[in-house]
Amino acid sequence: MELLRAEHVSYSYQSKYQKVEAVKDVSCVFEKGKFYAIVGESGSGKSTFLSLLAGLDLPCEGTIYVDGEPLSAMDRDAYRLNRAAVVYQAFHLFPLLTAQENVMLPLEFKKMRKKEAARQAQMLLQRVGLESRIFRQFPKMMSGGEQQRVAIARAVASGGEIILADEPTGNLDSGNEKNVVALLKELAHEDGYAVIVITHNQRVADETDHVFRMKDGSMEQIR
Amino acid sequence: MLLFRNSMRQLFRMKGRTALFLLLLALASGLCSLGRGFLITNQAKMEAYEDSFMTIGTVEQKADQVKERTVWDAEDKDYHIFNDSVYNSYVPLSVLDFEGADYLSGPERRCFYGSYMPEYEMYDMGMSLSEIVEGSPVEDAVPDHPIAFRVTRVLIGQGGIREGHVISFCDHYNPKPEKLYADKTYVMSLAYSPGHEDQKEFEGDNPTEYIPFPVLGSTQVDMEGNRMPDEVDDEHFCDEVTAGFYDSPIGRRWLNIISTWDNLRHTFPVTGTSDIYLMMAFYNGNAYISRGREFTEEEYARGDRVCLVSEVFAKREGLAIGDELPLALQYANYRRTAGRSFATNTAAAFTLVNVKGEIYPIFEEGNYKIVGMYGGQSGLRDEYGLGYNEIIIPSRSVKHSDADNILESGPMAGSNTSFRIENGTIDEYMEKWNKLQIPNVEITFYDRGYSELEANINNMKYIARLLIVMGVTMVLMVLAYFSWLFILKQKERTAVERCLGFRKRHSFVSLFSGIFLLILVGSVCGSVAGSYLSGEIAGKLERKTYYDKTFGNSAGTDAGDMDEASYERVDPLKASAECALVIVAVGTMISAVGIYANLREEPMKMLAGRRE
Repeated sequence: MELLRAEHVSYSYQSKYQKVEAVKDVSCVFEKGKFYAIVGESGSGKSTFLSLLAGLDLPCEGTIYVDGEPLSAMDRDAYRLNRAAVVYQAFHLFPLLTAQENVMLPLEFKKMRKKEAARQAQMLLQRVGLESRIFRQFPKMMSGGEQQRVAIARAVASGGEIILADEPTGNLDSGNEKNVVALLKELAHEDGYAVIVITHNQRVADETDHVFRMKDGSMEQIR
Repeated sequence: MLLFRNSMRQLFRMKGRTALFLLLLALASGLCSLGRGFLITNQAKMEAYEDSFMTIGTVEQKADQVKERTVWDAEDKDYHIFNDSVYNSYVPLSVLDFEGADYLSGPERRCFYGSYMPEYEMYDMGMSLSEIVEGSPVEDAVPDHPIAFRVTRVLIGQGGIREGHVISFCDHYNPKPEKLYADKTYVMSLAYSPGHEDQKEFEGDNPTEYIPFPVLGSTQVDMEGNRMPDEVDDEHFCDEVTAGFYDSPIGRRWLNIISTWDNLRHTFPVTGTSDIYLMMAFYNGNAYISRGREFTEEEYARGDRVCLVSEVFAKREGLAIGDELPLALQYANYRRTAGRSFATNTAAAFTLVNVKGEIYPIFEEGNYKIVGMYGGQSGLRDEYGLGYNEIIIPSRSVKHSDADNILESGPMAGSNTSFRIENGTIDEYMEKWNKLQIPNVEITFYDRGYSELEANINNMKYIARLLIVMGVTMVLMVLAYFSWLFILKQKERTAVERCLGFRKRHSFVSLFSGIFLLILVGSVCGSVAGSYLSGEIAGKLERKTYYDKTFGNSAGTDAGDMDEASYERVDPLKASAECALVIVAVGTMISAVGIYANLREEPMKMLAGRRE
């Protein structure tokens, strides 16, 4: 079932010396319950495209539709809060909040009561395979894999249907990489999320349902 | 509430930094508040004291040279040497009217007038008069030593000599006195002179003698202060009385002198001024307004006929505020002050007849309304003090010229020439004055300790400004450093929040609310502490400071009382609130700028660490 559609999306920006055309006339469709990979070399426009999909920026040309509604016409903050979550290579947890508090924050921000948010957060942390001893730990006390699991749990806590992950396994060892990819796959196939992963890693791409390649801002579906 | 709680939670998980921020901000706010408190307190003190202090300058012309004068002493049979000051000319008052001299009063050159008021009598006149007698030596003799002299008639006396008395007479200071004959009658002006060892044969163990007291030669001077020529010389004290003597010019002069001596008991010293505080007695508090009021500026300016009288004189004469005195000014004396002339143990050292031998005519007459009475000391034989029964009037109330009635003249002196300038402008005045390079004129300033106080207060104000500068610098540095730490270094946090769906205002509140609370708490605590501390320190400094209490302008004025009450104190709550408000405003501004800088960053760019 179609969830996200990009139609002739282009994006350019002015760098210090020249105009950079980061995304050129990209059209593609992302469905619920599917796991996607976008691969390409550095500077090919993958992360820019992801930020357009996250609604953090708007395309210069073309349109992104969410459930048929143009993203440009939507409240994009509410879109990120309720429908699309972003996971980063560097985890980007709040360093001064515990694992549980990191997950609770988007829940509480959505007006969930504190107790309920704590319960929900614990459930999500268990869901991503973390032990309860981790719940009260600060990010600097956790391993990279644990941090990325917390980041995924926080993304899931947003209660959305889209997970946008920018090199989620880039900082992980192969064991943790496998676990995280399995988790994302599970979220797509079992929980119905549309999971879109940007990666350089062929092993990660091999685990996805569909693969897009970006080169010089253009995109083609290779699987 | 969630955002605020989240903000505070994250701040308090940086306990060390947060505590350091609070401490440093409180310290910096305290310095600002302390400095501000000092500045306000000292500014208020200065303004309050400005009206209590007064700066006057007195002017004195120094002698051009000193000349020796020899005087014969009949007792020692030798000359005694005295030094006399010699002035080539008198420097006019107009030298003080130079460009840039900004006077509040004056400069003025005061004289005292003699006002003849037969219906009032001088009490405690103080001044000793000569005794004018007729008589003959018991035998022909040259009075170069004490001779016996029989008094046959007392023309005017102090009660010491009676008709028929034989007194001891010596022309004591004359090296070549003329011979006196027993068959002739002489009229003489004599003064009692005690303590002469060579008079023991007349007076036993308490030897005394009468010596000449020359009063016949007129001391009249012109407007420039030059002595006017008189056919009777200064030393003239004796004449032979022959038939029709008192109808002759010299005889009439004797009678006029006798008449003025008699009138002197009804002739009051009157001093004109443009500001009573230019008179040292009022300035230093030896005299003060005890009843009624001072002259108003308008009365001075218009020259209204108003006067201040001694409370003792008013009481004895039954005078009250509002009564009028019929002043009739006869002469002006520019050499001596009333305080020197109308005092205990002084001799009438001037002659009250002009060079024509006539009594000085009245040159100014009018009724003066008593507006105030003064108390304090008078008649102390002090040039700077007040004379017995002295009457003070506005100088401009004397409308007619005293040019033909000047008894004596002299140079400008500290006791008769003064002016008033703004407090704290002595250096500025002297700089301009010194440029004129006027020789032999010396200016002495009196400011009741204002310069010292001003220097102290300026020092305190300097310290206060230093504290403020240090405090403001520290506040800015602390706010800048911790804004960098708490805000600019939290760009990632803002970006993650934005990616989680926080709106910009949510991210703003998330960062700002905690920092704002810290700024508020730090600045309020520091400001309150600083304000109270400034009050405490100011209080302690005041208790340690001694202020001159001699400058009260009325009885009971006490500088100590003034210290406690007359200047506006800093309200510590108000002062700290103002100080904290400014710091909070600055902190808010700096924080807001930092947060907006964070929010300008594109979240994905920052979190991805690159833009592909």
